[in-house]
Amino acid sequence: MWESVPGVPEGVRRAGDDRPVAALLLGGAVAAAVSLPVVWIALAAVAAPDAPSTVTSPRILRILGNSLALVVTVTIAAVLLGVPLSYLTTRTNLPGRRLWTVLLVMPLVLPGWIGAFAYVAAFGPHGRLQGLLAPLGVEELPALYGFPGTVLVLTLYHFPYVFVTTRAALASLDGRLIEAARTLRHGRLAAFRRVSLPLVRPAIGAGALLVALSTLAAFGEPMIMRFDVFTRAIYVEFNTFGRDAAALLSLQLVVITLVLLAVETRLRRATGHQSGGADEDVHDLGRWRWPAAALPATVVVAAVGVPLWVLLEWLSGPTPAGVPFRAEYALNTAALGAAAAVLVVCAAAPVAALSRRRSPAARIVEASSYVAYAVPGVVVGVALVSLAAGHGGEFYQRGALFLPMLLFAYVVRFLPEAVGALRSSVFAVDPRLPEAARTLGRSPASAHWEVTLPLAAPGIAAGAALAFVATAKELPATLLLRPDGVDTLATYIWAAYSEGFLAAAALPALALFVVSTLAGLLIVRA
Amino acid sequence: MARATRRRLLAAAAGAAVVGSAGCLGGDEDAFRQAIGRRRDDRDEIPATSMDALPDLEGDLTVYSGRSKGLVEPLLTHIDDQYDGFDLTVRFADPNALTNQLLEAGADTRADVFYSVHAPGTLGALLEAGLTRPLSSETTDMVEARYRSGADWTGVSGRVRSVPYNTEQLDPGVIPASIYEFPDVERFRDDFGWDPVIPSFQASITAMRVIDGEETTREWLEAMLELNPTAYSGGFSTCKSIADGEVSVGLTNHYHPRRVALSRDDPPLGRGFTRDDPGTVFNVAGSAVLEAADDPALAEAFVRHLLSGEAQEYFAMAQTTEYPVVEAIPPHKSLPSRTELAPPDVDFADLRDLEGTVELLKEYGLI
Repeated sequence: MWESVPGVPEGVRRAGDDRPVAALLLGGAVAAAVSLPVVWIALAAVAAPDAPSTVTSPRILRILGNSLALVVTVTIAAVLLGVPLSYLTTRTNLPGRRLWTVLLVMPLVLPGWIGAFAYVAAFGPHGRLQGLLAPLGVEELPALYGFPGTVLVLTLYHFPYVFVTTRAALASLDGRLIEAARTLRHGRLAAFRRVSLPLVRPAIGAGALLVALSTLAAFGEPMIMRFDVFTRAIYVEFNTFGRDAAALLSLQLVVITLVLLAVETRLRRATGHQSGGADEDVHDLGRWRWPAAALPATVVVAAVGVPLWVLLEWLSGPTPAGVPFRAEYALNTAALGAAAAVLVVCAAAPVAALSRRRSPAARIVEASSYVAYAVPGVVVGVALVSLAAGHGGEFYQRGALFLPMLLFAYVVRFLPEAVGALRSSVFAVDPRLPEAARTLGRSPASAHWEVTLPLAAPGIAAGAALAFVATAKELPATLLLRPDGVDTLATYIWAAYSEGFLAAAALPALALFVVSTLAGLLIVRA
Repeated sequence: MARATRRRLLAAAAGAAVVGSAGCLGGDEDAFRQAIGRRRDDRDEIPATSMDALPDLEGDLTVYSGRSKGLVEPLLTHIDDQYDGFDLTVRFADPNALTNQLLEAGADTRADVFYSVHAPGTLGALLEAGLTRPLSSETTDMVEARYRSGADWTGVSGRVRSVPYNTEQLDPGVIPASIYEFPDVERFRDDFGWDPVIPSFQASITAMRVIDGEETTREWLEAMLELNPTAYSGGFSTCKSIADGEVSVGLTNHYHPRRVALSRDDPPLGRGFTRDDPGTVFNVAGSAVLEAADDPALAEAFVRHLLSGEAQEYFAMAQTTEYPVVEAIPPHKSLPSRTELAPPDVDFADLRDLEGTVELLKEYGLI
């Protein structure tokens, strides 16, 4: 399937110049397809009986309150963590800035829900942490369930959105502006507050909104922390005679995410480009240079170290009771991840091509691919199961629809990341380069094969790696749509967790953690 | 059992060169032997119909299992491995979710057999919707009448609700003999755990609604919520938290403490029972042949394998230590005998209203 990739930029390049129709049709088809779950949910919710009374029931109001409180708290916490960290790693002489940057991005690719159950296991009255602290006289640690636990875990694994966007903005900040402020007798803090901060504020906002969106979509973390939010309620309703209620809840969740997305789009447009400029302004931390490293170190230990430690400790314990583990689960994860990666990259190509155009139609296509981004996995799963059960007929009955639906769900969920990766690689290749190859007698296909592809390969690989790792750790859609008898690392870990065999999940969880880390390194390098 | 599904997945995800995963099923047979081995060593013969005496299984069969993978997969794999021409596919999922799926799919389901916990509620819902197929007397003769619902479906193994407690933190004397006195025990405040998401809990609530009425059930739930109980994700995690001292007492199935005991040395766990009330409902996990079964004879023959002496030994001895439904096979020695239990007087037919109970529990935010 890789052969189809070099073919894409060709049609696309022309589309960008003189033949937009092909790319528009392809891109339009992709956009329409990925919008299908949202449309279906809306229709199902509108058709549900008793809609108004369900929407205003005390339980749903409580869930709404919980979800909003969670989003606001996690977003604020992520900004408070992400902004100082991005400042430290860009504009100061903190030791090991490059290493810290890589390590601080890492939580984004790690499965946060595994972090969640590591924390549940670490804390609590007889948890691992209490055992460690027992010699110091610590007899009891509070259990980390509910709101505090959910906030902690979501912040740890989602703050890098703020870190990454703010860091990019700070890195491109014109140092001369700060120097100017300093010559006007501003201290470091005042210069940051009055010059840097207003300039990077749109970037912070964009990162914060990504945090908000991913918090709303988070499934495993609130499930494990037993905190009742939309995703959890949708899953429970869907599984317990409440399909109408699940559709209604889904629609509410989608509406909230759409509002956030609209704000995000406006902010993104407002983010002007900094004039790069000479940037020699480095904040000398002085004797705080080494102590300042405690902040990134704490975050890395909390997000990566603690789960690794808990998992390794389980592994070293006695052979756990429970579900026997099979290599097959890892192979299923690898096969699904690879298939999803290829499909996502292929689907992303026409959309990314269109993003170079400024026609209204192209803009609609691009926007609709992002709408799907805002639809949580549990909603995609619920929508597809209902759709297939209602209209899948014989194919659904035979179970033949599950695998295509599952792969489709992955495409819907992870398309935007791949679009971003392709936009900055394949479509950033100077069109004059393959043209030069053609003047040297190459056919269009071989010009792209030999010129465009090698140049764009790192970006394509990054897009594929992102889709692979996102698929490997995806939980709700996989739980709802996996074919009969098929288990993946993620569903196995989930089953072991929900049946209480925590230690049995250690090895596969560690495997997922390591695979995510490797993929993350690949992405960071690209 | 996983062979066919693995083939299917690999075929569809072609290109992602994944080969050589065959031959990794060995561990399951060991798991089965390990589970019942101890018992079989000291006895020559199992006093019940052996699998060998049952008709051979041949063809493809899809089972929806609302029983957890960890508990029954070794047995199902063992059955699958007995026959060359038999290919078993199992979809493991939440029992209520599978019930929902089967109700929604109706005749369009690809499942042949549904095997689930809280059979009166889950299988009962399918029965009510006309989605099950009556069992023949060859099958029903294997099981005492009180462990099945006529010929509609049969129980496969039994469990009773119990009161696990932490032996270091709680004097069992404070545990009342009636479930209705629990809310009055001040000692339980902030120190009580339960498992409202699992169907067995829901069955005891259904029993309460049937025996003592909707109003009493609501009052009891509200009074219990006053104690600020902790809701866990299942009976095992409830018992684990009791052993850890997170809470000191709770409500779970009788076998959940034992599973904690298997995972660590000598946890401080005791187990009490209430008497003659919904707190000690006797319930079964059961199996039904679906109306939509492609090969009903094969499906029923599979159900009979679940009732074979080997399978019943497995339930009595494996991690679960459940009550066999074939009375010739005694329960595990750590359990009260069937006659020592004092379950309330309810029929399986009375426990059918799963949906009503689920709605009630949702109302109180318990699931």
